[in-house]
Amino acid sequence: MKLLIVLVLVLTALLPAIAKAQQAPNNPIDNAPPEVSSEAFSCPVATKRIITHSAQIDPVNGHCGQTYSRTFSCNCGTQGRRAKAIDVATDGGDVFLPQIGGQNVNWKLNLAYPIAPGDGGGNGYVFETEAGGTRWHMDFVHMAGAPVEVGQTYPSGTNLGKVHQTHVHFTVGRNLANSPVPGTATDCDPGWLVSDFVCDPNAPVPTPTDNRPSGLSSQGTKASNRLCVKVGTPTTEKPAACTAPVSPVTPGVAPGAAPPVASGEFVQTIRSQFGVNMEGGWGETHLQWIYEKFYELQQTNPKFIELLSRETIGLTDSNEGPNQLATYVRMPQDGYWANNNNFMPVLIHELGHTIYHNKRDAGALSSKHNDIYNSNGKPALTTYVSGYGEPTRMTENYAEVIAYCLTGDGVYNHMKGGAGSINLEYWATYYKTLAEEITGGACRR
Amino acid sequence: MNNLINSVQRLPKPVLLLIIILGLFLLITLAVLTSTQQTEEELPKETGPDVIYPQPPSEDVQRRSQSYSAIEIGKTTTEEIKVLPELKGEQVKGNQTEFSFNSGLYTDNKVVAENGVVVFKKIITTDPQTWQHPPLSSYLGAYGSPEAEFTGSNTYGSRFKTYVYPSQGLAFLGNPAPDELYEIHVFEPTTIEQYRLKWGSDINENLDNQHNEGALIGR
Repeated sequence: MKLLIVLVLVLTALLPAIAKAQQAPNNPIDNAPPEVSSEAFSCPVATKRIITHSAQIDPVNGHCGQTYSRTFSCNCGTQGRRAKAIDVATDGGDVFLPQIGGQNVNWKLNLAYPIAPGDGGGNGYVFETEAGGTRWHMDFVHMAGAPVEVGQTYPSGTNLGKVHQTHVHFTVGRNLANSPVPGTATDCDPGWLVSDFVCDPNAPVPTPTDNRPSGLSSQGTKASNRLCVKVGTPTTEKPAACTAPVSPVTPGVAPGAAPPVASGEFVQTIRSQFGVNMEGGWGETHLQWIYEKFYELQQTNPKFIELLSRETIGLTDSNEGPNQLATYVRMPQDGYWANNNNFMPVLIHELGHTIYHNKRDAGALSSKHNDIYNSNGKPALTTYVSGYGEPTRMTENYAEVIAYCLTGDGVYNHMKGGAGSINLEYWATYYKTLAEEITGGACRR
Repeated sequence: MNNLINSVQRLPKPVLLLIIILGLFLLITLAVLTSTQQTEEELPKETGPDVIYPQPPSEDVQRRSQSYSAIEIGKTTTEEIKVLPELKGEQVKGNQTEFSFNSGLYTDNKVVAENGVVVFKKIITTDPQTWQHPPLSSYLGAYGSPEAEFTGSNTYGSRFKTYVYPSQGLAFLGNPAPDELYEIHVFEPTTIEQYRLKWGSDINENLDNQHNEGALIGR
């Protein structure tokens, strides 16, 4: 009889487990979840071996540190999501959703996105959960392809599978203002935490009030900025911008002069400060024009600069002409393009194409533009646009809207036979407000 | 039969009890499994994939997608279509009736019926308030490699792609660079050629030479 009672108890205990196994979308396969540590988070990888720290823990070799590959852009420099991330080697093992404070939580998958091969490849996943009144986000990058679905919820310990190559890259966010979309302004949310603490018991665990940008001292002065470090020779006094109090920039306010950059440092500075890769043998003059224009726009129209993150400006010759055929901008610098008044409006126009094609609609507002354009009889902003058939006409219009907003000029004055015209009524009625929304600041006209 | 009953009755009580418990356990387990399978089967495949956004969509989008999810290819009739919300208009072309539904944008959600039954539907997945889209890769991941893909869209531009699964009666139109889905097409399973002919008029593979501002002329 005792045997019977034991049997009944065992079977009763097994029943819910069988039912759960039927419903669970994802079960751990062959590895057990890693041991739960005493820190706030359990490390998602059993090895707990960090191969690249955050910039704050390792300013030299960490993410966005001094030796960090310039192939990878760092949105918001050392204050951004990538700078605060860690890489953890998996040694062939799996990645698991972590516990928080030793407790199981339910993680909701908000976003699944592919990682470009140039950014290390694989897939990215943004999870969200709430624990103890705090909203947490985790951005996992370089996964081989986890068996999870957007909108579904998964408990701590869920196996996310293998990584694309050797490691998983992740960042923890606390009480972020918006659910993050990597590559957008959400990278700059101060709620991203220096994430070494997740897998390194010796790393400092952020306190609940520790959400201020880690490069700012309590007095609000800029304590760390790549530009400030690299300007001039080591004996030169740093420019005022490096020590002046940091104040929020108001879009539309006239910017100050760009801090000087040492010869030979433009490519690196453009990459670290604006997230834009300069490809080819660009001359210093053109690099300086680009640096100064981007510096100006970062202050007056910051959303435009954010939209350029991870984009490339390549060099071509005048025979090829300005274009955006290869998913990135290619511009000449000789002949007619040796004059900044000709070069800059056309460059900004081409960057408009890049934004239209490469960036998420929520930032680029390309669908909003197309809706305005198509719902109002297809008003072409410039004569240049009018020369095209659809849908090229529509996409050229978008690029001219961006160029006219940021330069008061556009391709229409520089291509195909000389100066053209702009329809200022269309500009005022349909496009100016839209352009200011896309770029995050006031238009020049 | 009587022999069997007698044999069971002669079994020791503990063994009989064990058999009853095991039998009950088996029955309950089967019931649980069956109910799970039923839930999966209850989802009618003809309605096509769900539209799932990274963030909660606006109320307008939720309301409009009700029509999309209610329509079943090969089943829903024109009479049923006419009572759905957000219907803008209808146009009869031979044995086809084309219904347009408000999407909140300049392009409409579309439903085509042949001989009184729905054979095609298209939903615009752009949220006109938040401008978010479902992630394209989630759909391509779920359905695997498309049987055909075409670059160039007359509606959206040269880099947009249409991924077609004609044997499954599905196509996805989106912008692969930022991983955004713009349209879902659901239709009766067919061939690639027939899809292009009947439902693929937006595809335009001759748009590749764009955004080249050309050489300077007259300078």
